[in-house]
Amino acid sequence: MSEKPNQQNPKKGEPWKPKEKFDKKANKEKQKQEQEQGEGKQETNQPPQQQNKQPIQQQTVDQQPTQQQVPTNDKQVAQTNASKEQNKRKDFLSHLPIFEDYTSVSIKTVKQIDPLTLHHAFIELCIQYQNGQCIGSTHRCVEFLNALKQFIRDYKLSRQSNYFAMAFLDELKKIFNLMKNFRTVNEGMSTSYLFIRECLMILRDTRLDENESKVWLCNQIDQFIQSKIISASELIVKNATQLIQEGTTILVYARSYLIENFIINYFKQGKQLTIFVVDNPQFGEGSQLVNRLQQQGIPCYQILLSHVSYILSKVDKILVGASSMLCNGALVSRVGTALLACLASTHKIPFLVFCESYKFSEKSQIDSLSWNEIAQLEQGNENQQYTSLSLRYDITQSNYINMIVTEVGLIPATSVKAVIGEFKKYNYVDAIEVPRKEQ
Amino acid sequence: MNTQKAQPRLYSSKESILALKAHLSAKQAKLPKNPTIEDYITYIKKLSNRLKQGPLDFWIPNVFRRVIQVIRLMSSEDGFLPNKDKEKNFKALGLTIQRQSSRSKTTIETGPETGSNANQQYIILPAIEQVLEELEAHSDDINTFASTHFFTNEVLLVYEYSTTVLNFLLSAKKTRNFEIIVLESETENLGKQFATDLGKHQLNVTLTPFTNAYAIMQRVNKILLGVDAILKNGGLLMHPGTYAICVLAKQFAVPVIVLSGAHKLTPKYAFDQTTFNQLVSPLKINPNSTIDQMSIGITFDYVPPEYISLYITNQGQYTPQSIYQLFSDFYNVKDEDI
Repeated sequence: MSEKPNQQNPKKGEPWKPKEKFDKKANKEKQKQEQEQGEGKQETNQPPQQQNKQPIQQQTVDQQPTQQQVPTNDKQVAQTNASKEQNKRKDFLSHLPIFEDYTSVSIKTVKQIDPLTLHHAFIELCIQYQNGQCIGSTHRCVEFLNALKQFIRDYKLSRQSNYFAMAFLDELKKIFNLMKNFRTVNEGMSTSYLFIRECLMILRDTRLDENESKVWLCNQIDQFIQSKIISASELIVKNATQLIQEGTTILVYARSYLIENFIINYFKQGKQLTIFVVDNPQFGEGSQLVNRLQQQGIPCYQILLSHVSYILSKVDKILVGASSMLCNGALVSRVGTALLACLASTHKIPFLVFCESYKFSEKSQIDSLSWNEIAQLEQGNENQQYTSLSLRYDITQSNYINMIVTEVGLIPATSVKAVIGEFKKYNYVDAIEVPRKEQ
Repeated sequence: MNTQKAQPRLYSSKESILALKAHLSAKQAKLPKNPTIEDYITYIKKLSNRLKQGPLDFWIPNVFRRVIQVIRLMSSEDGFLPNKDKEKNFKALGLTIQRQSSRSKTTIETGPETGSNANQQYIILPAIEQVLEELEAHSDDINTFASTHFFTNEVLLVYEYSTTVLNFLLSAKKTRNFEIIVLESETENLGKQFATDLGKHQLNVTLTPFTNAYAIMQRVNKILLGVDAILKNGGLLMHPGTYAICVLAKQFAVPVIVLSGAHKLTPKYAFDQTTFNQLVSPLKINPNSTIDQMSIGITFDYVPPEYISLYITNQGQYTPQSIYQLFSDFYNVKDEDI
């Protein structure tokens, strides 16, 4: 049907040209040539047609295609339409990843991963990420590590590879590539990945057999969770209790594992606080926190982010959790935090961030749009004439942050780089014990 | 007795004028037998007190203030009265009207003396008509400034539903190409409605929830806001959330333009968020509220005048430093206690 001059069989003596599929440059040139040929042919075709048939064609800029040109023009039009629809969603955010919806069945088929090696724990986890059951940086990280432990226990070495460590490293990479299709990997998960990789490097140099390696690796993961997340949280709560006197009014945004623990701990010591919880109904985290506090019998006020201006004069401190802290002192957190920080600085209210040290990152970012994640929580109508946009993360600049409470102490936002430098000496975690064969 | 209810107001500005008309022509209008201009004015003031929905209802008193001001202006000029005595004294004017005995066409069936009929015909009713015309045409007057403030391919930010802003954008669309970002508040569906209404007219519209305001702000060139009331110092009472947007705009140096008809001018002063405000029912915010987990919601946000760049009204464009001039033209100082 379509006459494409490049598809003619190469004549003898002509240099071999690569196939269309793999030669992108040639494709582009071919398209240009076809356009030019199309215009050229129409110009030449019109005079004979005017002689032969009555001229129906209009001489407009978009000249009507002749019979020969119809298929190529249609194809070009179809191509541009398809590409327009893909990028139609966001003009200035087309660089951000868009995540599609998967069911558990479609994950295996679409993503071309061997179904035998993909563990059911990860499928469940990915679906939980997708429909919003598992949100919050610490929660996601812990769930991921639990799923990983389950995977390790069920993992069986294939006959070809004798070394558990290298084979498992490949598996780990595959798993991470899978996770990236559902939600972006947050900083905590990246740190745990680096930690596990270090463990595997150590394993590679020892001579443990498969079962012992698995047991050791699971133990290391448990230690990571214990030292970096659970003990860290206790230390942070202890540090923060010194900062906040009894009877102050605090404002809390959305839900953070650390802040929840802090409030519950504070009330268990018998002290009182007035708590305002700022809710973001889009993710429903604020109401989750309120329910949790209600179970513990702690009274609090609920308020929306747009109504916050009313109570800012009555609030003493603002506490906020973190997804990660960047090298330039910026805070990556739930969207809406930056707005709260800006209002806090206008009203001169101290803005405190609670963050464990494993969430510190070596990246730097200055604005919220250069990297972000688009949340697709609502199903939009096909007929709607507007595009909806909702982001997940927010960058708060370091000059809005008064103090960061971590397990290594109370640090200003600009010291994050120094802390990262300290950790680098120990590969992001404490020194890992080298396993020995049990006799 | 004014009961303070957080209800949507029963009368919009236009409806309150029509209500005034109806009240004046009703049989039970409690006017003295020979009503002078002053009598009418006191009657209108009492009526505004009766119709007001609470201390936070600004629209009815504003409109009635405007009617009174137009009445004052009209009655101090000559030419409306059949009597050609050129006395410019207010009270003398009233007396000369009372002395008239000619019957003239009236719409009033109560049958007071003919003097008041002339009053009503030549002053009161035309005054009401003029205010009504101002109200109906305010959008068109504002739209004359539509294309003077935009450049091509601008990105504009709007917040929640405002018919003034909608009309403004539709008339600006004819000469300029721009992109609109609509912020929606968490509770009501007004933001979505606004986005659909704009989208119907083939405008490039993006809808974002309120929490994304900081992330989006760096992309925005200008902010257009509709207002609930403009106070005498230039401060604004607006939909809750606008204060946060204005604070952000100042951080990013984004100009904020306020669009409003002059009927929203309120000659009062506010100092902080609590001067003119009302808490709404917690169940509106969160249906699962209990005594221990109380939800707080407010009606208005007060925005100080330092955050605004320009006010565009149907009487002209003003800066926060000069908007007080509009008050002295539009209202009379004697009526500020309504």
